[in-house]
Amino acid sequence: MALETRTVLGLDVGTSRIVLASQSNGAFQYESMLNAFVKVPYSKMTENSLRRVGVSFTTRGEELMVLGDEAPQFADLLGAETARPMTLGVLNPGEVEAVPVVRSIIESMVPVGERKPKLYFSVPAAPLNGEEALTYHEATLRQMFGELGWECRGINEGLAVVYSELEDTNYTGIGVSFGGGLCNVALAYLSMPAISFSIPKGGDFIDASAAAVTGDLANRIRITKEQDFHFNGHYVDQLHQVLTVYYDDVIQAVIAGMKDAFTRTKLPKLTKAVPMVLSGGTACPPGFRDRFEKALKSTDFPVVVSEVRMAKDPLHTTAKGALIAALTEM
Amino acid sequence: MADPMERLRYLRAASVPTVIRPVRVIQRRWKIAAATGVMAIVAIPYYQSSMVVEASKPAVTVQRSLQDQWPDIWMVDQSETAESYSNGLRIEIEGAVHGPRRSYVWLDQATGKVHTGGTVPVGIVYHTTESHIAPFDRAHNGDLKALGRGILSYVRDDRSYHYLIDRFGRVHRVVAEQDAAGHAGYSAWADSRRAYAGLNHSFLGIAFELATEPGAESSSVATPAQIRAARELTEMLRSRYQILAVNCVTHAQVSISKITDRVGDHADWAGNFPFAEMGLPDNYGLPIAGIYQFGFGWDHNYRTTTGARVWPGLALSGVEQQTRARAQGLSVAAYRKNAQQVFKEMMEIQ
Repeated sequence: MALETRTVLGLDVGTSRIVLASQSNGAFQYESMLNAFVKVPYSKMTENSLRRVGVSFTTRGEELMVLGDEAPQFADLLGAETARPMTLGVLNPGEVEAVPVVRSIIESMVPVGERKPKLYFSVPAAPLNGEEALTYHEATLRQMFGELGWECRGINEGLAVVYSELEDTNYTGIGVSFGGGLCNVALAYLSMPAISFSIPKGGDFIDASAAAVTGDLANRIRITKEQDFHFNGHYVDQLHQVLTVYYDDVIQAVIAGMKDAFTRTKLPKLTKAVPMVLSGGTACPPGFRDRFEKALKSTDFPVVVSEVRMAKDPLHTTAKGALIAALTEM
Repeated sequence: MADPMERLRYLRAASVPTVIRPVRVIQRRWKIAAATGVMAIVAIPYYQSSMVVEASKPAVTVQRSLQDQWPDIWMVDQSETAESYSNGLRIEIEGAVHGPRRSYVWLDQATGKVHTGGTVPVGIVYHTTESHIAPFDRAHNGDLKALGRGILSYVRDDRSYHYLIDRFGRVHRVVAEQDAAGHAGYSAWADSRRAYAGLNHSFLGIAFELATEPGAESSSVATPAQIRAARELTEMLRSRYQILAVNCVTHAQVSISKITDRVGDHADWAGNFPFAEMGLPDNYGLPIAGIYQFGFGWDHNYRTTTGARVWPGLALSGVEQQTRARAQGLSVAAYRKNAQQVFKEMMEIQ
């Protein structure tokens, strides 16, 4: 990676994936890694093998930690569970390896030895009606980037969606990121966040809930969900029906949250209907946008929405928005 | 300010603190932004409605029957609250609203030219509301009525469709027939004479109050009363406007994604609309105009979501697209690019 032209970065630190956005010759580029790891007993042969095939790993005492996209494969081989350094959008305080794993994953995506990057990283909004539990998460990431010598700033995840997708309305509208741990919402007016909040449900909630009903492993549910789940079609098995139920639960929770928040908050006077953009991995199944829009239309929504649209590249939207923020401010 | 990045830089510099924190409510900054940033708003150009766009003349046309026979349906009675028709149809008209006056563009398949000023509806798009649905039984009568009232009120405020058929099979006029309703947006359809882009103005929208159940057949999601009412309404509208049977299609068949340039942005009645019960041929077998006429693509997800009834039409669409490209001496990619440009210009004129 030629950092001479890519020193400004956008980083989406998500519960499920970490996505790095950069710009080269005017084009946006992305790298992505699963935010997961698995511990493997240390041996020199294993270490050499991992190095030879280019698998990201780090050594911790008597163990090797396989990081990122390859972690599930190793977990399968070893009959172990993959571990997740983050939960519900923030660093998992119960996982002692959380910070070193996230740091290792990010360092593996941004080569050392080049010019120190400047970056905007995504941070979730506080949960609606909940206690703000983000200080530890954001402060820890800031400290981590500081130790690496990187200049960093945080950007609200929903606002990043607005920056990425709503240039046609002068960055006025509603950005929603359906993530693995949380759904983040921001309503922005002329690029300014008027309100932002999160809903503590996302892809992990769907997986775990469906697994509890079907008796399958959550990992298998996740794979099915990502590979061939869709709405409004001819579903072939119970799993698809169960997934639909929990997807609807997430959709209803987000819409109810928006309705509640927008009703209780004194918002800017919007003279025109505003667009709503959906992004994130949990919003990717075909038919999701349609399902969401129909649910939205069936409620007495306090903001007039001109259209509900999918982000151009839902898996990279937050990272792109963070990069745009970085490019315009740093 | 044409460059969006420059615009964002300007807006943020006008009012943004150096660090944006993940706070829940920020109520004052938008006012500053409004005061200082409004000058950066760029006016969106628009096309005059009289503009005519030259389009490529299609070399061949998909064979679609124009030899339709329309039933003779007439209005029997009319009051301030309802209309009744000779086929048993009754339309509740109290509370119907107006939308923008109908005026649409179309592409003449014979000359390849785009014309403006169409005022007579030429087709029907069937939708589902995907709203909250109560079990259809006696014990839930109160819920059924309340939900029906709620969705009717919403779609009238939103001017979403021309007609809504509630769970009891009552037909409600939502938007006046002579006006446009916002039911189809970015969409396309065609018959052998004309092609249409943006069907809000050219097609009537009929919505069934129902939520699609995965894997369910239409007979189990729509109530018998809804299906009967939809058939009567379809007959009346086809009779009144001489609507071709091939122009009675579902939202899933006509919608196009602005983002991906593929068909199937919406999935209403994706694969289980009861065409036969409407007195219509199985129009799922028709090629998709968004693909062959306007050059848009489709993907595996669309194929999966729609199901086997739509696949013959999809296959035909690809063949027709290639045939048209060959006839014009173009590569498929070049044909698609040109056709999409025509669609976009028609949408802008609209």
